[in-house]
Amino acid sequence: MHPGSGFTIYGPGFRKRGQYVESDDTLRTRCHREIEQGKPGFSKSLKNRLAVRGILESGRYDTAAAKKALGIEGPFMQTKRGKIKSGVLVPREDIKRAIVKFWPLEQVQAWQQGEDVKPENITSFIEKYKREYHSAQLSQSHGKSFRRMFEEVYPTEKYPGLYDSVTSRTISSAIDMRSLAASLQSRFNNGLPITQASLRYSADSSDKRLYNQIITLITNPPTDTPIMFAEKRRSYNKVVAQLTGLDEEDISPLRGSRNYIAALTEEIVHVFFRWASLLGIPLGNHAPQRDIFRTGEERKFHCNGKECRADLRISNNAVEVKAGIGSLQEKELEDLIDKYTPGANSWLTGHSIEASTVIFHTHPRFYSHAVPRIRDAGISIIEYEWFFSKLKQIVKAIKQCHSSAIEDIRPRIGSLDYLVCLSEELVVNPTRIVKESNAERREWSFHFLKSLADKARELQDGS
Amino acid sequence: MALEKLVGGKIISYKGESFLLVEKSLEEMGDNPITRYLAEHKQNLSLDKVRKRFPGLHHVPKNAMLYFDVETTGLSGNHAIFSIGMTHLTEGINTSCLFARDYWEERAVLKYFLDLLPEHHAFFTYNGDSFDIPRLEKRIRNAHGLLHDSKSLRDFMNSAHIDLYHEMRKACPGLQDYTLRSVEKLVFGLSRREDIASSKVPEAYQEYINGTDGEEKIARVIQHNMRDTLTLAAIFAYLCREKH
Repeated sequence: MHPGSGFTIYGPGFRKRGQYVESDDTLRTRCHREIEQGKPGFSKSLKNRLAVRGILESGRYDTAAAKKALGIEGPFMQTKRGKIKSGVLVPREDIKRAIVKFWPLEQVQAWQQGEDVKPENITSFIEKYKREYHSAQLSQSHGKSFRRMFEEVYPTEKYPGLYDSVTSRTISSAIDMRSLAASLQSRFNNGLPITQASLRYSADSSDKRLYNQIITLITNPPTDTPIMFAEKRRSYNKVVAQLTGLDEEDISPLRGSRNYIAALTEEIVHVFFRWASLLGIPLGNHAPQRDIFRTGEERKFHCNGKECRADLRISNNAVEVKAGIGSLQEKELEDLIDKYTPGANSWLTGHSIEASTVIFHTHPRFYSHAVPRIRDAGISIIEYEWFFSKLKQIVKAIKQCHSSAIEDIRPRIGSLDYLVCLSEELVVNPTRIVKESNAERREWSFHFLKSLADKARELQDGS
Repeated sequence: MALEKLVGGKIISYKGESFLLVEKSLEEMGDNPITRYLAEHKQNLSLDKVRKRFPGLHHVPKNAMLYFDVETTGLSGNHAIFSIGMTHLTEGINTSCLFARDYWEERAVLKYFLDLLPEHHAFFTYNGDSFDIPRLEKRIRNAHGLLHDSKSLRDFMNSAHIDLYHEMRKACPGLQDYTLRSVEKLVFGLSRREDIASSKVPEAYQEYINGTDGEEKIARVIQHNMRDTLTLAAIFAYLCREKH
């Protein structure tokens, strides 16, 4: 014993001058410090000291006994399911006992005989037996696998498919590839994305199921696997391409696809107002106006100290176009209200923004939640159905009154009805035109829409 | 001058969309070695001769054979198909062309073509195994989403597709090359000097879409496409001839 309450241990197996062990207070302080540091376990030197301190309790190197004597708990391990005590492992037998208690043999046998009994899910087991599960899963001495421990209790040879059943895993051999391919093709043909992220993070559980099936085919291919899944470098896109017969580049949307959809929609809206103005077609609150600005300084304004651009300026009114797939987020909504509340901001030319209109050229599910707040802010809304009916009216009028002018437009267009089809496509199936295989049509559409708007201005200036 | 007047076609409205359809009989295709050969050896296309040469076609009625060829804006699957030339054998020999006046009309052309397939029982192309059919499949499925199930274009064709390129290689070994031009020249003695070169076809279409006076050039492309399909019928008649 030393004056500072530390002591030296002598005896066989120790060095001649003995092994010094700090006082209990010092050890306790050190333990608490390391626990506070949030390390997964105690440091090696502290564990050695605790082990030596354990000799005084049980006559052998014993960290657990030392911790008990010092009143130390922890450290805890941070796992997916929360904090668990890392220092103390649940013995193998206890884990097995917990498994049998949770999944009783009678129940398992009933399940095996095909009775209508579904073994409890593993997540419920983890909630109830957190330490047992993590001891099996994390500890080297327990084989670092809960599955291994589970299969010691219920061997796969005797109970085939039991573990897959309790873990609700998608079993590759049970995947109907034809139906999986058909589901993916159907999504693709309906313009819904089939990318990894879109299925994985979808709120719809059937989408997640598709994702799980594809991933299972990649990570755990069936034994009678076609060559495509047996390749070493298989990836999500490769497997989906093989299943559906699509090109890999068509599976992932083109980079910047959102911008393409927005740019095309803005051009359609520009054409819409330009020709409505030329033809004298009234558009709700918008009387036909000649002063329409799509480019240049006229459509710029300041909002919260930043320079902003309206998609279109009609006289002193601002027009904002919302298009594409994706719900209107809170931040976007606030931004929209900040920018376009009538009278709140002024154009760089000095005039106040007298009125504003948001055109939702998209499905109502993406914006319906925001409509009351936008209306409360005094911003008017044009929804797609109304826009579409007016666009049809405009196209009909152009064909009647200006067919020869349309023939002069370059790039050429076979029929102006395309304008209506394109508008519909951008709402119903927006991912189609942004595919790489439609690059030519996309570029042509963009240039054609610009030329069509220019033609309206030219005719207006000439009249 | 409007293209439809220039080529003697008409604008077809099909399922809400439109495209240009040009139809001509063999006589209207002008006098050249191919049309002469077809007129003289029409009997080679009689069912008994066809079935004798290609026993696999025993189930095919005469008027259910379609010879077709596509024109594209480039060689990859991402390039549009703007023209499909076809030759049918009905009472006489008729040739037609489905032409997309812009990139959107490609959809109507493909829809129309797809709907024609069930009416036919045998299909003939030149190098279609490697080019025309995969290209059509890609455009129909990927660009326009017109095939809504896992059925492929070959399923529509009921597997009765004959690639005349391979048949020519078998029938006439030792030719310097087997391009359609060479076969026309070596077998039928036709030299299409006035015709537009195949490599210039995409350029001609670009000029038509973007330029101010591309009509005449594109009219030649349409003519070229229709002539190609007539050559396919002539090759088939040549293959079905009786060897002495």
